[in-house]
Amino acid sequence: MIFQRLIWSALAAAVLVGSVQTGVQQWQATPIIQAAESYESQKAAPAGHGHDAAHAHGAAADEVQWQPEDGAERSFWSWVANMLHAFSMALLVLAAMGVCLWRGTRMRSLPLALLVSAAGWLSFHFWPSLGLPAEIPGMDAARLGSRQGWWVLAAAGAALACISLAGLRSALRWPAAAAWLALPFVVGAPQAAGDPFAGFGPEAQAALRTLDARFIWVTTWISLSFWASTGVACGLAFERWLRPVLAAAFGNSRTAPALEVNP
Amino acid sequence: MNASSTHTTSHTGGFAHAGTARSLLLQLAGAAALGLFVLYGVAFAESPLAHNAAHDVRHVTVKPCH
Repeated sequence: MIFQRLIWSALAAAVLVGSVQTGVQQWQATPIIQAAESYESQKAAPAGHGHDAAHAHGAAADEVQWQPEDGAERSFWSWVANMLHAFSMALLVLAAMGVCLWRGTRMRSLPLALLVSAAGWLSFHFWPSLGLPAEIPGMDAARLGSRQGWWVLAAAGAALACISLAGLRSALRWPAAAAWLALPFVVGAPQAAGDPFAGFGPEAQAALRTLDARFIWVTTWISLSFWASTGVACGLAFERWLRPVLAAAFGNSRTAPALEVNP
Repeated sequence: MNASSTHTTSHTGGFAHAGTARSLLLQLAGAAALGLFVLYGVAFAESPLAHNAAHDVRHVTVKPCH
């Protein structure tokens, strides 16, 4: 079953990428998140909305919910979440590479994986971030559901643009890709009604704005490292465990010799 | 098992592989769907448990949080 091979390949990539990501995040991002959280208790509660400090968000704010203790427990759950995130993205990258093979690509596994990962970075990080930049805890924002909806729209628009460029043969692929890229911005990203830091005093506001600006850059570098390492891991896994089986089964004269003919 | 069944994978192109190729494409689609499902759980699920466990990762990966 190629499905099982896909799962195992994605898991191998996920353990590697998720673990490296956890290390990078502990070093670069977690200090910013925790610094922002230290200001969260100073936030004036918005009128008519009882909001506990720190983690109790959303509809369940009045109940005490489990949350990991700061330190090892919180790092452990971030590690688990990072591996699941890397697993989900590796599955998409490997599946997309399989489709490329079916379509007759002659690219070698590693460059193909890096190209697909570049499309992943554009779709799952860069394009949504243009409308909804990275946020530190404590910022006010538009309603969660509408932001999540726009995020999906932006990611899907960028992914469809990449698919149009890769899959369509006609000259129409360029305007098609441009239209898909433009769609989320024609709709427009939901924005907070006022200043995202309105609930804080002047000193906290200044500190949080600095933290937020740093966080946007840090998350940009972290996302590049995530997709670069996902590309390398998926390229190696695809070459070793998936390409031989897929090339043999798709078995047309375009793909099978590509393994041997490549310089 | 006879010899012809082993030969189909090595000799014939096109039609003989159509069924296999379709099955493989379905499995690729299944893997992609599983990937999207896991992404939903990590990055979007509203359950407070999922949110609190993955909180920092949601912020770092620039998913709408809170």
